[in-house]
Amino acid sequence: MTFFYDKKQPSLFQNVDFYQPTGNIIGLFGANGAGKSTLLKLIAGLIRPKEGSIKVNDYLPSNRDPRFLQEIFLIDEELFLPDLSIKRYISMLAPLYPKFGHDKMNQILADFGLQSSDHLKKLSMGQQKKFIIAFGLSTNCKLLLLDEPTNGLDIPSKKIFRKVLVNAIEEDQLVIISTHQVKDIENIIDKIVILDQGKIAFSEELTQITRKLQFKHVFEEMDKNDAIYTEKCFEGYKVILPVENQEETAIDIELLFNAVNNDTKITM
Amino acid sequence: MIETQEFFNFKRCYNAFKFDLIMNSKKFIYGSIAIVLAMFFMDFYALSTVSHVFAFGDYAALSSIMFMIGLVVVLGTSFPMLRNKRSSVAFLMLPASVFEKFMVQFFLRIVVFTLLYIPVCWGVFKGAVLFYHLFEWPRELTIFSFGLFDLFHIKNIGWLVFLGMCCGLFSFAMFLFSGAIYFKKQAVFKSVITLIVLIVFVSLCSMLLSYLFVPSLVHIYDYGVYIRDINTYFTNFGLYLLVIAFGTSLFLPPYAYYCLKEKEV
Repeated sequence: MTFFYDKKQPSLFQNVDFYQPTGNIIGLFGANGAGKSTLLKLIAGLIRPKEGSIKVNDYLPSNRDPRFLQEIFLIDEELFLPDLSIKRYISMLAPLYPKFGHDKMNQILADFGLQSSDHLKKLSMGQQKKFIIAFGLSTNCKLLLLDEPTNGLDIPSKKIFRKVLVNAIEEDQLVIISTHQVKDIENIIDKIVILDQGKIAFSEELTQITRKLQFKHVFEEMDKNDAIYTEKCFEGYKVILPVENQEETAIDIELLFNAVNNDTKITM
Repeated sequence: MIETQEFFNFKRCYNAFKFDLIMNSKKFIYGSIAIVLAMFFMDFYALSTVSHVFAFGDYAALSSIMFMIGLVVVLGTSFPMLRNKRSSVAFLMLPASVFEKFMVQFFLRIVVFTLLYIPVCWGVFKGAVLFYHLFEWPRELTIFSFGLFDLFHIKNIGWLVFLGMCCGLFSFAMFLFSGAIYFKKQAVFKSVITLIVLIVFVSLCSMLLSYLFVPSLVHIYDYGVYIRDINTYFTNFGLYLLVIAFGTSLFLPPYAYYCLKEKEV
């Protein structure tokens, strides 16, 4: 798939090839302007690829087949919520999603501390975000696209968001979360996808990463032949190393992201 | 194999219709009040400024003008969710087919508006007449009485003219409808300007052709040559307009649908 906004500019995506089965929560990372939101819009069918095609659940998204739209929910970074109560909004929109779970909705609303009588326009930005996350999860769509879902959420709400998301997702669903807030989702994702220079520069499951790479903090600079990537930090260096002696370390997604962004060759 | 579910499902269409009604309920209520008030004041103004007789022709002309203005407002503001990026995303992601989304707006904005307009226009006019009689006026005014459906007396104009008028109105409606989909911001204004530009363009083309083929009969802007009667009510120029109206009424609905189908954010 190839995509560009302007013919005179270099393509935002050039021959991107990506396949993802269900049953995963994917963290989609990339520098500003790397095309994270654009990729989500392409998957949602809001814009069309200039070359090649995208297939989601055997549908071409840009055809906007209602059966495709019933199985996809996009939580955009910029929300659109009408001047209605939560109850009215649900009664208006839920019938259009055949698998909508009202009990699930009530449970998530309770987890987020929202009442069905609350008025959407009177909620704070963070509360509006919580509401739309609750609604999106309750649609039970096969594909959930979340663009910066934790923006505007306070620290306790981020914790609740992680809990709610993990509990709400079933095996036949796929969640793609695009975010800059790596820390907010590092414990819930099971795959990392990094966009860089119009390509998917890195795409690996977390289990595979921990099996192959180590993330360490050392006090002295290592030999370049030993480390895959080194980055100076406060009181020493952060390094990515190949796994030795089956020792597993916690993944430092920020470090991994910087390594990919600096064109480091990471062989898995 | 084309499946009908892809295009139309009654339950889904009903839900999309309900969605639009709830989403725009306040706009519909305030808009209707504003239109009724505007009609009332236009009727009252017409009654208070007409000379001595307010005949059926005056009512027909007034109601036609108000209907055209109403169409511009109601149809120019159709697809309200396409006016900004956030709501466009919500509208395009709504789980209904493009056809259903199109039909919901078509039904609400063209069918419902037209059906409601006739009795509302008549009722508002009667109300304006009652209000007019509350005041003392320096002159005597005779107001003819006419029924709700007198506007549809085809025998007065001929069926071909009536058909032409219907096609013309439908084309005008579909032009505004297409404009509401095509233009993101200030769709009403841009649609009207585009229509004016098109009319001027067609007039200039006609003038150019007249200058080329019958220069002796053209006097600057006066190029209305060779007007012949086809029957009691119809001229060749009327036929020319009928062809345009009929042609555009066939072309514009699929064009509007295509614009909606290809819409991106």
